[in-house]
Amino acid sequence: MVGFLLRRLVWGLLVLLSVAVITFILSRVVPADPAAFLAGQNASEATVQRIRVEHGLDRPLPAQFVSYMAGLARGDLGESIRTRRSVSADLAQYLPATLELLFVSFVFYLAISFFLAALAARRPGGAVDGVIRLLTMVGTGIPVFWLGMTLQFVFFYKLHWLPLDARFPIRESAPPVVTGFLLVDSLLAGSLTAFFGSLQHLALPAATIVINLLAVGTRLTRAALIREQDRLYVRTARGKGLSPRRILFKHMLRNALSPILTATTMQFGYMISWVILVEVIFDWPGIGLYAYQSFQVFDYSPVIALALVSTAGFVIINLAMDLIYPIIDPRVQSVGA
Amino acid sequence: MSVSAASPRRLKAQPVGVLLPLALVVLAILVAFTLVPGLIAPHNPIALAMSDRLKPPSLLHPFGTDEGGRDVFSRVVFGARYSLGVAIAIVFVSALFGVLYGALSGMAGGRLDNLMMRIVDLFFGFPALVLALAIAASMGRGLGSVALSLSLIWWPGYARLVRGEVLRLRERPHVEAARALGVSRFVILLRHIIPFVVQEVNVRITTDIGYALVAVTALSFLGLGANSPTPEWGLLIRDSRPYFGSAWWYLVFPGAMIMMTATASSIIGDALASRRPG
Repeated sequence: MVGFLLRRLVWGLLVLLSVAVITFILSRVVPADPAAFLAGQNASEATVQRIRVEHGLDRPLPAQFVSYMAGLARGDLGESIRTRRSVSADLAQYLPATLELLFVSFVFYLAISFFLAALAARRPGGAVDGVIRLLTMVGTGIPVFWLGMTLQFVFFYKLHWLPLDARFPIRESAPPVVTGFLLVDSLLAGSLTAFFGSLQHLALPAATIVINLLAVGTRLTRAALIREQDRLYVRTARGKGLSPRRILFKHMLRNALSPILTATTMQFGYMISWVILVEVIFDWPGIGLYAYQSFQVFDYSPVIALALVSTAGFVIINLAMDLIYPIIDPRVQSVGA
Repeated sequence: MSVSAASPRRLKAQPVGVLLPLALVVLAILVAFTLVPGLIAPHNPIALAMSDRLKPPSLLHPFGTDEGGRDVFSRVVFGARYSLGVAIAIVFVSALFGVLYGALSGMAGGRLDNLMMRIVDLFFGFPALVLALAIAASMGRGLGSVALSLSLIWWPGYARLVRGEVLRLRERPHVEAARALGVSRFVILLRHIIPFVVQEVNVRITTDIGYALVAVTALSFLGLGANSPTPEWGLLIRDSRPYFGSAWWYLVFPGAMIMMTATASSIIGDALASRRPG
C-alpha cells in the first residue's frame, strides 16, 4: 500500500513538473519578447525593461528555467499588472469562491445522479429509464455558457426568482471573512439571511454545472446499481425482508459510489473548464473569473498561474481518491498493495 | 429476479431508437448549411442594416435580427462552416495522431508502452480551457489557436482507446496466425489490426464531433476564437450577451443549433456503437 502511494506521489510530482515546463515554454519561449508578454500590452518601455531585469529574461534559457522553477518552489507565481499585487495573494483571495462553487455543485451532482440512477435502475429499458437517459444526454449537449445565460434569462428576467449574478446580495453587508466560504461565514456570524442570500446566488451557477455533468454520473451509477441488484448480498437483504429503500441506501449506495468517484477524477479537467465559464457568466469572483479578466486586459501571469494551480488541484484530487478508495470500498486495498 | 438475469445486454443502455431519424435529419440540415449556405440563407450574414436592429422573429427573419440588423438565421447558416468545420478538423487531427500513437504503443509493449501511456495520462489532467487561455495568450487569439489547444487535449483519448484495442486484438487467432507465418509487425498492424480498430474509432469520432463543437463554441464565447463579424456560433452568443434580457431570439437560436448538433452527434454515435459486432 505504501509503495503504491509513493508511486502515485512521484507520478503527481511528474505531472506538476511537466506542466511547469509547458507554462515556461508558453510564457518564456513562444512569445517574441517575453518581457513585453509579462508586462502586458500597454506597458511602458521602462516597465518592460524592469521586468526583463527582475525576471532575468536577458539571461540564457536554461538559467531562466532554473530561476523560474526556484520561484515556483517558493510559491512565486509572478505579479498581476491589473491588480498590482502578487498573483499568489490574488489567488488566495479568489480561491474560496471557486472551491465553494465546486464543492456545492459536486455534492448536488452526486446526490442527483444517484437519485436519477436509482429511478432508472428500477426498470432498465423501461419508459422512466428512457426519459432519464434522453434528458441527461441533452444535458450534456447543452453548451455550458448558453445554459447559464438561459437560466439567467428564465429565472432572473422572466420569473424574478433568483439573482442575476455575483456571490452575495449587493444591498446587504457580507459576513466577516473567516474561511472565505460565504455559506460557512454566514453561519459563523449567526446570520440566516446572509446564509440564504448566498445560497440564492449559488443556485444558478451550481445548477448550470450540475446539469452538464449529470449524464456521465447517472449513466455510471445506473450501470453500477443494475450490477449490484443481482448480487447475493442484495438478495440476502431482500430475503430478510428489508425495505427497498434501506437496501438501496444502506447496502448498495457504497458500492455504486466508486465508479462515479473514479469518473470524477477523470472529469476534473472538464469541471475546471466549466467552472471558469460559469464564473465568467455569473460574475462569480473566483480564480476563473480572475484569470479571465486578466486575460482580457493582456495580463497573462494569472492565466499561467491558473494552469499551474488547476493542475495541482488535479494531482491532489487524484491522490486524495487513492486514499479515499480503500475507505469507501475495502476490497480495493488488496488491489493496491 | 434471478442471478442469470444480469446479462451484459441489460447493462448496455438502450439505443434511442425513435430519435435516430431526427438526428439524421439534423445531420442532413448541417451538411446543407456547410456545403451550400448561400442557397439556404435568405440574407447576407455580414452586411449591416441598422434600420432592422434587434427585430423579433418574423417571416422575413425567422430567427430575428441582431444589433446590426443582420438576419440571425443567415448568420447561423453561414456559421456552420466555421464552428463545425473547426470541430471536425480537431477531431480528425486528434484521431489520426491518437490512432498512430496508440497503435505504436500497443504494438511496442513493455517499457516503451508504459512510458508512452504515462505521457497520455499527463494530458488527461490538463483543463482544456486553461490550456486554451494560455495558448491564446502566448500565440494570439483566433480559430487557429483554438484548434491547436483543443487538439492537444483531444488526441490522448484516441491513443488510450486504440492502445486498448490493439492489446485485445493482438491475442486474436488471426493475428497469431499471421505472426506464425512470419508476417512483419508493420504489416500485421496495418492489415490485421487497424481495420478492426477503425470501427471503434468511428463511433468515437461521431460522438466527439458534438463535444468538440461545444468546446470550440465555448472558447469563441470567451473571445479566444473567431473575431466579429465572423458568424461563428459561439461568437454569436457572445455578441448577444448585452441584449439578452430583451432580445431572447438572439441568444436562443444559435445555442439551440449547437445543442441540436451535439445531441444528434451523440445519438448517431450511440446507434453506430450498438450496431458494431462483438
